[in-house]
Amino acid sequence: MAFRPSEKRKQTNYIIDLNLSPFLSLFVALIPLLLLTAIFQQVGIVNLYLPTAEDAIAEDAAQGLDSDFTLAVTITPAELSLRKDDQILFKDSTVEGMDLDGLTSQLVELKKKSPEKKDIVLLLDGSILYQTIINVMDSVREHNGSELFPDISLADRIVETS
Amino acid sequence: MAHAPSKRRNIRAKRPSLFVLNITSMLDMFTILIIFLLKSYSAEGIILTIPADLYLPYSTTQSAPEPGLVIELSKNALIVDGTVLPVNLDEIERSDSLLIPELLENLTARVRWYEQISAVNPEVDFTGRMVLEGDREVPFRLLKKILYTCGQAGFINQSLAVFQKE
Repeated sequence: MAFRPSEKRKQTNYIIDLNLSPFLSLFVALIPLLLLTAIFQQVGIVNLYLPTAEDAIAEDAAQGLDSDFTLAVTITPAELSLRKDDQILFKDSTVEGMDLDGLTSQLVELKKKSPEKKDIVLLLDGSILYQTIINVMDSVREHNGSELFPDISLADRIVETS
Repeated sequence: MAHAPSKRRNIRAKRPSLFVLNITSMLDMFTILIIFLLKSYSAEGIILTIPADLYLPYSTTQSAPEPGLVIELSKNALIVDGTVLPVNLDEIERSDSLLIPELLENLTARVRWYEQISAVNPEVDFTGRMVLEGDREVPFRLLKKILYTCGQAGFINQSLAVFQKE
């Protein structure tokens, strides 16, 4: 009686197939998780500066020093100007697109003269939009990574009545 | 008598009995996606949730958000820590008063609450820190009233939330 054909012969063209389905399950779980937690728009903050009682004392101590002056940037729809006490250092009256670079270069000069000075006041007109305020704050705060005047206070513009 | 293999069996052997799904290329794609998502994943920092109708202004700042009371100011709603305040922003914008009574009331209640907690638990300290998420098209005359009211209520560590420019 002849034998049954050997089972081994069938294994000649044997394809190795990696079973990747566990990886697939892992990725299917991981990808939605990471997509949900992914932050595509980074949120940062801009700090506002409110003068405190201690600052008033420090201001008294600073009297007579280089940093004893008030810096104010006035922003209205028609004007962007920089004042050091009563003296106008920079004025730009272009209606469309404010010359923020010009303002920054003036502030860089000022910072070189008095490196101790940190505070600045923005005097704003009521109609100025939030984005414009932030733009001005950006150009006042720093320039090319070096700090200019980071202690920024916001104030209402004093309407000059003649 | 020889045992002849059945013909039927031969036919069955030619047909693949198991259908194997080739998912290698899909896995390649998933691997690339995973690497990209892991790179953009940040496990640290405070995550501020921005409502869909609120467009923050863009800024060059590098400062990361810090925990604090979140006040959302969109074009038509004022939301303090998730609670919509019953105010009309147009009226507030037009009014001459700097103080917003509804906001002041809400905030002072929060300050009192914080003070009560810190009286019991000394580890909790009221820092007066707040983050304002304002829409980029809000005018300053409205913004100043909100900031002023917050300052009056005792929130003096004010910061403005912005989108960071690339």
